[in-house]
Amino acid sequence: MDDDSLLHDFIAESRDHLSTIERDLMALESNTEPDLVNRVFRAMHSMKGGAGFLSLTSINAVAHRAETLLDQVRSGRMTPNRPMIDLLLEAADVVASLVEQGREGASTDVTAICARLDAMMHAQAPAAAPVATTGPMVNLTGPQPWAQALAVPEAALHGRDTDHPLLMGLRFPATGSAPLSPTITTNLKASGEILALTHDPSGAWVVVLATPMPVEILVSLYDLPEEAVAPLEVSAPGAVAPAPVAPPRVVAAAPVAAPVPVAVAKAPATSSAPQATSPAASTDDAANTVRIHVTILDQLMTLAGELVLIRNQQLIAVNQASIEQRAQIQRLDAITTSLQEAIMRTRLQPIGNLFSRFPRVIRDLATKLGKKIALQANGNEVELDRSILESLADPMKHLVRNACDHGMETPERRLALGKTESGTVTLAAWHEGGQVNIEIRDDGPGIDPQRLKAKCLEKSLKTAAELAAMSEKELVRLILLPGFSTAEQITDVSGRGVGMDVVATTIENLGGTIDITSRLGHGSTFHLRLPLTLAILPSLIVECDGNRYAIPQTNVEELVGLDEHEAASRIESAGDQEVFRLRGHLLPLVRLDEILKRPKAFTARDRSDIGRAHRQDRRPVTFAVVRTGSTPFGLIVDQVLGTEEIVVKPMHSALKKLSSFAGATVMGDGSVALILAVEGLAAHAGVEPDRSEAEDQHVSDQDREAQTLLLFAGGNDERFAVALPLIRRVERILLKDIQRIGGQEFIPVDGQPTAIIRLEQHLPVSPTLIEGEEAFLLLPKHLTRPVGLLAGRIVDTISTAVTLTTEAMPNSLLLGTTLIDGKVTLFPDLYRLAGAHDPAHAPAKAQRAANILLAEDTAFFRQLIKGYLEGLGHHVTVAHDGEEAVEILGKQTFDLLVSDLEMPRCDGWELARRVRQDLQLDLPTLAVSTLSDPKSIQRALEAGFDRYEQKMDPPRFTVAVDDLLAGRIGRPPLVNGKEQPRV
Amino acid sequence: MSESATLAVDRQFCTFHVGGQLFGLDILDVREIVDLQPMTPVAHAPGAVSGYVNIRGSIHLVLCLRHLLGSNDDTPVKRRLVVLKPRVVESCALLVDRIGDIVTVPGDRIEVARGGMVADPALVAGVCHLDGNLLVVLDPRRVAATIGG
Repeated sequence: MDDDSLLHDFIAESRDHLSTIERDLMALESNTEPDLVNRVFRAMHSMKGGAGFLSLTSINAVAHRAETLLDQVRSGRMTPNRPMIDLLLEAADVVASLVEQGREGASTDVTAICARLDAMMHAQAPAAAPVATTGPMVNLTGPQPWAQALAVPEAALHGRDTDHPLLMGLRFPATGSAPLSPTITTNLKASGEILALTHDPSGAWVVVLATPMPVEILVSLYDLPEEAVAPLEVSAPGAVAPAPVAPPRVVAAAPVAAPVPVAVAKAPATSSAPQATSPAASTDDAANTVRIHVTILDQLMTLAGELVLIRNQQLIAVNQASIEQRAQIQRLDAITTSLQEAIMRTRLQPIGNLFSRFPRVIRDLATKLGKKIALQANGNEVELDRSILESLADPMKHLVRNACDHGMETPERRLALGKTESGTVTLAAWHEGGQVNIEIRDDGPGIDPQRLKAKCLEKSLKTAAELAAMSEKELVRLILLPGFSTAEQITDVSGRGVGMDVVATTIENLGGTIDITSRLGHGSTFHLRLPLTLAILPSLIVECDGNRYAIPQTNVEELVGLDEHEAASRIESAGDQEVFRLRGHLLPLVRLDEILKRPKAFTARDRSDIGRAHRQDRRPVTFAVVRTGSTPFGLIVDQVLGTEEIVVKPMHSALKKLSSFAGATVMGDGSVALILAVEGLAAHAGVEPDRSEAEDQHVSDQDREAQTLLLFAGGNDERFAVALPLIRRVERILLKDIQRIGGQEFIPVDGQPTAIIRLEQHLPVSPTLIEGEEAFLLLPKHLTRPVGLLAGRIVDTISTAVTLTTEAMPNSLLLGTTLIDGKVTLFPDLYRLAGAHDPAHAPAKAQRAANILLAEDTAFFRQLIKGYLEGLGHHVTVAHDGEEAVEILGKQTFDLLVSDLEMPRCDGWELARRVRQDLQLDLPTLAVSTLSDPKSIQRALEAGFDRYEQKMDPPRFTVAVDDLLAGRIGRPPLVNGKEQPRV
Repeated sequence: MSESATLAVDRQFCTFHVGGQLFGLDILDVREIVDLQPMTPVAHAPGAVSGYVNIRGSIHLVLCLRHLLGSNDDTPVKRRLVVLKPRVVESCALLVDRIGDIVTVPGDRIEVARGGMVADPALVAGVCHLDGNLLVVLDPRRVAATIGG
């Protein structure tokens, strides 16, 4: 074996040692059980030996001193304390970094750490043994055969508390190699002082106890037979036993602390599985394990995959085969399956490998933050694919750090809150539903939703309205937003505002999910769900355009099939996005074929084109409800073929940037199928989380083609529609409550007599038909007097683009008619109806008919606003966008320009700027928009608009038009086309 | 490595036709030639990517040489896949019109391609005059690099 391969072996072995040494050292602080001390000692010793052999002098020097120090502990001459453990941990860190450097590290200067180790050695040595096991020993005897010669240190004997006059020997039956149970040691310490603890030849534990308790009490206390408790006497005064340098039987005199498990607070992570393995088992393991490079495992995996394919082809051919062949093929099938499973298992590693890193992390953090934090780890044995385990290290570390930093109060605060002084961070792992579940739980203050809200507003991550609509659970998820951090003070531990979003992304990239629960004052829990392996993925196989695609099952929530009628009637559009109302929630729909067709991420135009193209589809629709993070959407496919476990292959490196695909796989028939990346698809299609949650009761922020309409039925199933934003409320009324006063019907609504308008009173339609006792009253917004429109039945609310025609049924009280779902639908003009019903509502006719140019791209609003203006007695010319408006303005003169803001080609802001600067026109301008944020208003005024009004507020709109036409505009006159600064 | 650089070493090329032109790849860069198989198209991929194909259990990316070399000849031919060695380009196969012979050429007869000789000189490692025929030797790494990655 050459030197290089020796070095490699040394590095590999040292890594193994170092991985256990850290945990063992920390356990040593509270527990000097010989097995533990020996294990640490041996690890250091073998590293020292290896380093010496390979002339890695610096490792050798550090390891040698650490070993010497540990030897003192092993022999009982020193008691490990915190500074010593800290130093030993530091030494282990130095060795670890030197090991990684290999040859280059051989000559690194390590004098500093060596000097400190030496100093510790000398400082500790004299003061070390509080109960001097090194001093002279005294022999004690008792009446029982096992109590003939029990040696205790003289110093301990004479130094014992005067309250403990009696000397008692207790013999506990053999427990094998296990230490004395922690309950017993705790009780022993409560009942006196342990002067010596020895293991007698039969394996039983013999304790010499200085105590005030007589034999009978001890017998009953420890449930021992009478002969197992013996009063002791100094055998021969002055007959002092020779002081052994390292008394072989005296294991540890003073600090017989509760050994191993349960003692969570003091011995972090001592419940971890690797430690639980007895020494015998671990040597056994070592003899039965072989180091194999991962590439070989990967190669085996690939070969097994190929074998599976050949097996599959054989299975297809099985029908033609003879009986003998069939039997062979079946055997091949069974063996291939087992082979594949066995190889898969080689990739799995216990999560304990990851958990074991955290005791140190927590210990260091607790020191740094001045907190008391204990770690409990459960489920170390749960196995995970090594690639997942590796990717999980950073997110887990982040979560644990967070749990210590944000997630834990200071000891003083905890006591003040009535909690235990020491906080606990619990890591747990378990299998459930074919997934690995990991929980990071703390018993700290929890996450305060109110503080999250405040933070979100402060950072403008969400608006107040959005926050108000969120449930507590959704609020807590806000911490996953990019750029979010709630630490009041940015510490170097956490709180840089990068991290939780990265954690969430990493987990999602692994095909997992993250759930957060928090109870204010009681702590928070981060629950991760991850697939067992990335190599094999249970997937839904779908077909689109003749090709098969796999959707990871973890992303799929449910499948929905719609027949052609449902598809036509229940797929609506919200803005430009196709949506489906699934159990009361709007689910955005994304068509896979459209995504595959368009290499570029969807624009708003793409989305509305898609919506329009499919509106007339008379075909059944199948979609999978898929979810990434918190945004579910429906992915429309041609056909669902079934589920299959697929072997995942990454995308070719040249195609890694294709965000829509997560990889590829070979199907049973040998063809290749692509694996869809749900997150990438959502991004490509522009599915926004907010859009799915947004209620369709309000028009979305931008002037989109689609309007939200309230459909209702009058008589003879005649259909009517009003724009939902114009309605304040829909009130359910009882017919018996209607009162007649003169020719007018009234009903009390909110304690106010509200006039009822029946459509048939003003329009040539059949009388409103009311089934049963109930009817509905539509209460319009923005009216000075309470008026309601009577509707017999509410049909639906839909979101759709409408183009109104006035030709079919010209009537001044109708905005127009259109076809919705194949039915003629009438759009009554609520305000003119109210005006016709009660002249007090009718807008006063303008004194003078003005020439008004209206620039508006959305057909519906064009008609609506034109209707208002004409109702006021003005002449209206329409332009379909800013560009057209500029052209018209170049040819004609107008008294007023009314313009929308969001328009194609040339938007409202641009139009205003051109009117003022290019055309140098001084005509009054009014911006109308559904945008209501101060920024848009400010921009509009800056661009040159005189006034700004909301589209859905006719009374205010009327006032604004009147003001502007009357010259009440409050705008400084233009001088040379430039606005004069206001003084 | 002890051989003198001036000594002309024979080189072997696997030749194939694309759009009427004879091309070649160093035989050391080629793993195998396989029949065209059903391909799985990869949406959003660059135009030269014909799709994925399963060649003996492992997934290969197929690049269409007609597309890469700017040939608009679309006469139907018996197309084949030239599978490159993994050390040359990660699991990749080139789609060619028709496979030619293996030709052996003394190394010193390979000339540097001059502009105007072929569609895209960036993809060419060199040219060689055979009996009345011009063999254009492609550089497989540069061919693969045209689609990124």
